[in-house]
Amino acid sequence: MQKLTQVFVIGGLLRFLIPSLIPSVVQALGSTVELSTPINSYKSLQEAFYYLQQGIDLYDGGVNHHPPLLVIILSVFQSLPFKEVWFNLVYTLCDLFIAWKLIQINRWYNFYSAKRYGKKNERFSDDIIASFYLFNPLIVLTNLAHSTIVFTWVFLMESIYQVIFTGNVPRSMIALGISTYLSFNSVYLLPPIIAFAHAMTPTNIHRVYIEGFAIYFAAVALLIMSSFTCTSSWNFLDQCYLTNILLKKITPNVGLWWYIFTEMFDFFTPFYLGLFNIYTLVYVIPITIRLFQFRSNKKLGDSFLAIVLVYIWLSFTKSYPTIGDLGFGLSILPIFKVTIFPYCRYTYVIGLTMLISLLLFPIFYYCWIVLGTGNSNFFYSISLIWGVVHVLIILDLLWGKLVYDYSLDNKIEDVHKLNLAQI
Amino acid sequence: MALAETVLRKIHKLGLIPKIIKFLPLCSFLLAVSSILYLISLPMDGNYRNTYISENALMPAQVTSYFRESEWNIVRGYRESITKLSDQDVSSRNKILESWLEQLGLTTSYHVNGFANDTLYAIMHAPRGENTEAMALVVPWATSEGKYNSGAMALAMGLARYFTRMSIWSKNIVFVFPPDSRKSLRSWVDAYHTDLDETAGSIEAAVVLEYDETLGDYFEFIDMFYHGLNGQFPNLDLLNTANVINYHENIKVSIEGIDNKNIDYTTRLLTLVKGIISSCLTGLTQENTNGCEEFSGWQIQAITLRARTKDKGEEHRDITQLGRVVDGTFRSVNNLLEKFHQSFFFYLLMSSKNFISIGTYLPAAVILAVSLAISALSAILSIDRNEAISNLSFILRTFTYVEIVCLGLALSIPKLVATSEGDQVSAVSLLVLSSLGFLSVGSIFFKKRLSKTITFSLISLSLLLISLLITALLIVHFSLALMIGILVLPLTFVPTLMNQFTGQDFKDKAYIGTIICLIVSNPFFVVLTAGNVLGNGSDLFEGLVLAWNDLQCWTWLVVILGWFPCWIVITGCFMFYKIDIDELLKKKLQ
Repeated sequence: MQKLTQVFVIGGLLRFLIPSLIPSVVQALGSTVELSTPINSYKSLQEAFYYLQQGIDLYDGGVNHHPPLLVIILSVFQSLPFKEVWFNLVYTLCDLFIAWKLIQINRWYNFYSAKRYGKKNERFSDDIIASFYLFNPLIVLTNLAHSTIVFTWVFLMESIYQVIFTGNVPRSMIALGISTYLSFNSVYLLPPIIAFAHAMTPTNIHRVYIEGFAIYFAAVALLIMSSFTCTSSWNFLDQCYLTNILLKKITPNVGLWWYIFTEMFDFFTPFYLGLFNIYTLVYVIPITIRLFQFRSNKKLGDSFLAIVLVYIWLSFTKSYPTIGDLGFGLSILPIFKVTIFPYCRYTYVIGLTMLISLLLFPIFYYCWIVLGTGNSNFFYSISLIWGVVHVLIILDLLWGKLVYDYSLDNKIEDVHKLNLAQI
Repeated sequence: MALAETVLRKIHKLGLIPKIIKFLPLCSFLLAVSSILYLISLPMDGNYRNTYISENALMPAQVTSYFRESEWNIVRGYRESITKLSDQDVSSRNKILESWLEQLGLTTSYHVNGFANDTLYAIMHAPRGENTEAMALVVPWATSEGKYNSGAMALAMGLARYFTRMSIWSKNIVFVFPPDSRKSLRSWVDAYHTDLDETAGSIEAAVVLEYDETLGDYFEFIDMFYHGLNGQFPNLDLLNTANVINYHENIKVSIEGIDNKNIDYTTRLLTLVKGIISSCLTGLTQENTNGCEEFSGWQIQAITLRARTKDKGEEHRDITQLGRVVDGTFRSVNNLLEKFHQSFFFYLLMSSKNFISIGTYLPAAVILAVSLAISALSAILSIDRNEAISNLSFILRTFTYVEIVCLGLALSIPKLVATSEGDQVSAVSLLVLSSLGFLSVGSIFFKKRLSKTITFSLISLSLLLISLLITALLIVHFSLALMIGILVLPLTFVPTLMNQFTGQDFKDKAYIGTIICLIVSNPFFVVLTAGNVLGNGSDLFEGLVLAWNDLQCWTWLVVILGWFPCWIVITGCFMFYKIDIDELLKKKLQ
């Protein structure tokens, strides 16, 4: 067997067999705060299936936060025999699909950069890229917890893939529209993906923007209208999207939001809501612009990196993040092996910080909830460190990219001999 | 930023980084030493704090206890009857006790635990409560020293009679009479929270009482025990409450066997060190199983009070005084409207009046974790990292195999020890495991084939894992984290010594040094030594192995799944390490 096939088979079996043989794994992982939030929890999805079956309004009682079409489509498997096994299969296929797309993107990116910078193409081989995704523990756990964020990733990957391989902006925008429909935060990826489309389609720039925006909004509108038709109420807007924006359900998670709203006086709530939402948005545009690939200069910028950075940024500022969000961002990073990694400086520090925070998350949660000796400050302090990990990754990647750009711009052969100062 | 900029430029200019890398092993060692020095400095004036009551509602020693002379005769009467029961078996004693309790109007019930005598317990429903909270008074039939606990039993009966006549209770009171204060009490606590029919709400505090038959009417001082399983402590407020009440009763209290009359630096240090050790050993040995730790894990604050005497005739504290202490403590806990204060769970006691809180003592273990991480770093820096990354899959596979073997041991050894008669199995397995270190002596006979890259990356990863283990334990079980940190210190010398190998035979000092380091840092060698020093031989090992199944004390798992695999990997590396002759010659030429 080829190595790549081996990776796919083992990665697939891991995701399919474990939950099929030990079904309690899904329930156990689905109850951990690090992996499951109200927005993407599998438990509430199952509750929604029940509501659907009984003819109760999907959003009664405020348990379900999944968009109606997702619930309706997935409920097809609910009626089949061995429904759990079918779900395991769906989740497995989703992950394999993402891994396959990642391989394609890796091939393209390194071919493209080799051509762009006139260097040798020394990318990671396909099987290594696939293993970075399929054997990433954060991704495996997220998948085993059956978090619905996986579907969002599928459409996100599809959106990027369409831009690269077909140059078909409408298709990409439809995929992004579906991804936004599935989880609100994808809307922030619109600017970097449009900018990416700008760099990828050689002609007709105006069309990219006009068509892109129009089709994106049309797709989202269509999905929302059909959801309205299915449920005959606007409740889902409130439950699926406003909950995300206004943090209506305060439960502990690995993000930065929840703590502020549990500890703060009520009259501060609007202020912090505004602040956090603006904060999410405000860095998206600058990252996109800084890494924009202008046509006048063929070598600078990297719009694909901008998408990844924005995704990691979103994982940092989201209202309901999971550890899988960062895991997804990290799994994409090996693609940049040649262009950026040689210039990153803090990999050891970042890796260690990340390990320690992953180690302490469950322990501090246990101290707080089970033993009763700790309190929420314990858990939140690790959330903060987790935030620091995001920031360090973004800083390091940006630094690496900018140094690389500088060396290209000034035709410097070996950057490592330079004494660069950060001012 | 300007300052950082200047500093960075300066560092670069002076070329400090290569110099620092060269001294990393020394840095690691110095950090470890400073951690121990830091710990020793804690009992000095100004570093610790005086205990105080954090929860104002407790108001200890603010009421007059009426458990006095009038009750004296009743307690004596009960003791007389209970002493007469001494030659009967526990179940018939329980029957008689049950009839007395029922006469007082208490609801009685049994817990059938299936492996020892049944546990009798009685519930006194609070006249003013909502029936949702309770306090527990535990009196085992046998003290943890194995004596007949007649005094405490009589006291419990006297108190039960006395409590029923008061209308002030807002929390239920549960009287528990287990046959012993170890496994059967643990199983009662588990059952209380899972499947007992007669319950009295969540237990806020529990007091375990021991007053054995040899003491008679008078005792001299109280031994107070508070360590819980897995590094948990009861809320400091409960200890303080009991201490304040003892002080008002003019009873001496000793913690870790050191009394609170003449407190100075030495006694504080001793209490601290003994406290750390007994926190590690809680649940593992007979001496460190005192009853209170059986309540761990259910958010119950529990202490054990044991009446003691040294030489009769010096100081007389009469038995009802101990009753007043219990009465006072219960009345204080009764005052609680909410839970015990949040911030009082992480502390180390230095005497009954002095403590250090988490912020002050935590750095000691943090520094140790950093020291291990630094030695891991120095090991990885001494090799070519790209080559190490290309060997990553071999390294990870090795670790997985070792971990699987250890998992097998972790599950099989307790099974074997539990099913075997006598202590032969545990003695043999301890001997085998602890002598594994001596295998490294025979390493000259092994065929060496591991390259330097693989050896050093494996060692580095092992050290890093131990460092992570310590970090993980920091908050939950500080004492264990500190202990492991100190005991594995010899392992941090291994990579440094291995870098200095001149030849792999006994003429090489570094070679012998490594062997010694490996032998002494073997966890089971440590267990064997500790067992013999503490005077219980292989019992410590047996306790360690069985505590997971009996008491859910996970020290065994930490040792066999955390410490032991790392030690095995490092020892294996030493045994199969092939020194690079070319490099050695180059060094010599220089």
